[in-house]
Amino acid sequence: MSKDTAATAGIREELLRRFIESGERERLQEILRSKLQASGWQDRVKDKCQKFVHENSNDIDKVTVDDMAEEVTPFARSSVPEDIKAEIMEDVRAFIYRALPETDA
Amino acid sequence: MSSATMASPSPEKASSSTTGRTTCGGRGCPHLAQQHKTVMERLKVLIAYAHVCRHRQALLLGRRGGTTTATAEVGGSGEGDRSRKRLVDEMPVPGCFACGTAGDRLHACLQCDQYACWRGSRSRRSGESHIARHLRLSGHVLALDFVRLQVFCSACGDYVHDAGVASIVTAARTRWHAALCDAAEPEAKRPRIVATTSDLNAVAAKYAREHGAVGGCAAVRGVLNLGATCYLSAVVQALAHNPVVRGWMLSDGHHRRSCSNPGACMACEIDVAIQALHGGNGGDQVNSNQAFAPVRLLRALWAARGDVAGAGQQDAHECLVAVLDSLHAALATPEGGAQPRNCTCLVHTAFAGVLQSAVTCVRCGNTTRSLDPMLDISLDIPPAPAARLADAALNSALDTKQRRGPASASMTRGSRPVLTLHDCLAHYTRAESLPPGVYRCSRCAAPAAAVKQLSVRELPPVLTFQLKRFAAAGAAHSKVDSFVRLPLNVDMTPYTAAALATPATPTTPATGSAEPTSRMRRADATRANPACQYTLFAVIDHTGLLDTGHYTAYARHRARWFRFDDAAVTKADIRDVLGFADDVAARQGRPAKGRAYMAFYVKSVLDYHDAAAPPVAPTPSAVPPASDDWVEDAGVVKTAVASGEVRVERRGRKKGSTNAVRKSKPKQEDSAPAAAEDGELPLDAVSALALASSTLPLSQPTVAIAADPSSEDSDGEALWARISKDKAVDDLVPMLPTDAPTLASTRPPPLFIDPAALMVNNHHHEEEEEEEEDGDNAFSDSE
Repeated sequence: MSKDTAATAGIREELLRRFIESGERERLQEILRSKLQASGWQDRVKDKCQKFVHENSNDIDKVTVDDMAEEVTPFARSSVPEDIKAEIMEDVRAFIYRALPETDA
Repeated sequence: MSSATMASPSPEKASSSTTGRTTCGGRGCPHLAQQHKTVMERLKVLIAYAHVCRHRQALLLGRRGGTTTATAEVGGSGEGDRSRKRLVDEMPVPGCFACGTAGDRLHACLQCDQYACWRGSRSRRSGESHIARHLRLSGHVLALDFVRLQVFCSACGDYVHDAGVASIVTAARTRWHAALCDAAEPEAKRPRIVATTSDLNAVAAKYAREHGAVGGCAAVRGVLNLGATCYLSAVVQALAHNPVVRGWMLSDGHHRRSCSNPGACMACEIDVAIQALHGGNGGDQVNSNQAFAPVRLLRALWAARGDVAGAGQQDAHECLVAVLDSLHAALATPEGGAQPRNCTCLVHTAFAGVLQSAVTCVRCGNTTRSLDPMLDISLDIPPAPAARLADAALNSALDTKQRRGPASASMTRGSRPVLTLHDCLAHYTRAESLPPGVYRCSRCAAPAAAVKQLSVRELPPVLTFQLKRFAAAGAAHSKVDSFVRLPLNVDMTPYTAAALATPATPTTPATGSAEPTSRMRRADATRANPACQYTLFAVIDHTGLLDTGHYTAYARHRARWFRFDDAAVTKADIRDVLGFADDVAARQGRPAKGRAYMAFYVKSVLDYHDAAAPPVAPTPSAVPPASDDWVEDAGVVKTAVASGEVRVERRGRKKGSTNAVRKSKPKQEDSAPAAAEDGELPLDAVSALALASSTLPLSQPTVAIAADPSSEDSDGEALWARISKDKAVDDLVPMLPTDAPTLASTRPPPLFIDPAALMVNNHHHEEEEEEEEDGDNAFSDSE
């Protein structure tokens, strides 16, 4: 770990803190949620989760939430529509530009 | 980065799997049970805190208008309520004790004051999370997921379910829902009482059937086709599974014995139909060979509307309108019947909203608004949306960043935008420029060019959409069969008048690469109002051609979906309801056929009027406000509950139902699970009253909360004391009574994850990844 990395890690944590405290994360979460909901992503992922439960209905006592997350996450990530992803990216990027006006290289 | 860390099972879990998983299977977590009381005390405080942290901005700022920028400082807006603001100021966001992060699935230890994140050390992929390490080192067992409010037990290695915890969480959600609604729309008049569920699941229904004071009800039943009356079958099913209509009818909203309407009364016939469809002798099995014959209903329809009489095929939407019209005519009180806006009949309380049409003069900017009552929204199907192509460079960067698998690449590449209900709504509420000469501005007193925009002014509890598939293009009529994707949940906030009135926020100044559509822009501009969330409960499909075709209906009954094809009832999957196959086909550019013709949504959180309170004027509400018979009913229930005795007249009942119809002196505890049925228990008046009372026990704590907003900035202790004294917390979660030993064994295993949870999770990943990308590449070399 170089000194540079440590410094940027600090900036990163600070950014994350501001991201949350300013409410920007909450706002983007809400936007993302409504967009994913409208696009049907949520329904598809829910369907996938139900399928997982059905498939494992024999030893359902042994399946944990993490097991399901592990199973469904790749699909859930990959099926996020590209346009939604791009828009949220843009918003996050915009936040970072605003939050770091002077350090913006 | 995060997918690997998150998905990898922690060693903690692996090590404990032999002991924990077998012991807790199916019977609740023994570790939680051991220290139930102290955990509950702590949860009451923590959950309130979690809600504040989670909805900081919503509570603080209220509706985010165009003036407040996205980076508004905490406390920077003068709009927020003072007590709410103080609340947020005094409660900072907690961070992980080990790494200080506030994201990453923060968990709060339930046995000490530590907060720790789930992900833990980033450098070691298989490392245990901070919270797992904390629990292991300190010997503590239980932790609360601070975002999703689920209890994690490290001994069981999983999130565990507990009825007491669930009741606290639901009660808190109910309470905060009211606060968030207030924050989102401070000026709006709303019913003061809130309940969070409008349906119950199969397990709770089974419990109520076995332990309740009254008999259960059959699941679903078909409707006979009386000769090309499939339109009527579909409409009747959609009405019978409408939680508001069903609840009102089954709680003796209209009684055919006391009906004074001369001739064929539509209300009586609908009442009979709903009783018949929900009646029968118990069991959740599909009972398709005993279909209901709507002969008298059809007759009443024909009597009311001569133009649909006859053997021909009819339009389901027209049929619904006709049924609702005659229902209104049968139910409306003479004084309220004149103006539909003030009507308190079932039809108007359930379906009636107000549309606003705003015409703005281009020259002087003067806006004229006119309000129109509506019972449903008829949406044009716009042409397929132009491909909302995102920035290709950004996406490719993203792809490499996330190191997706080959499957994911093929999945998303080449996916096309699919027409959704939101596109139709955006099309419906688009600003439309009127050609000059059509509109005459009152201020300019001259003909002028103008912009016209429709929006929803007041949202009804039940929102009905018709997709205009039968297009009349000149002389040639045709059916539009393009696929329109129906979301399971709809947020109507962007289409409300209040949201459209606020100017859209200018797009972010930084990188304006992809031009968002008007829909996206609008959705961004306003904060989602929790009172504008809707959930799908029925769909009417049309297959076939314009002049000859067939209607079928899908409806949700106790959290399961069924397909109603006249007399035949089959279990359906949500995939069929929403047309996943066609959705996939449409996204891949293959021909996809849209069948959905009408969609029925109900408010995700129904606001109930307090029947005893003075009527709140004509805001949409789930339960008819203050119509005479309703108050009477409620009064009966209230006194009955108070005196511990229910004395009611017996109402028509099916032959097969063996349970006692009249039950004298039921204890209040007994009636609580019955009340949970929420309109599902038919046929006798005890259940009807139990149904009506289901709003009342619910109401007691929340009334206190809503009436006393100042209590919200305390930590809720006093409030909780009050609520638990009333024993109403249990009522708030009627599905899972705490003192239900048998329920515990029938309860589903501790595997409950809501898709929103995954989504939020995913969301965190994305944000972080983006930050990394912008910050420095050095971050990602840790993996």
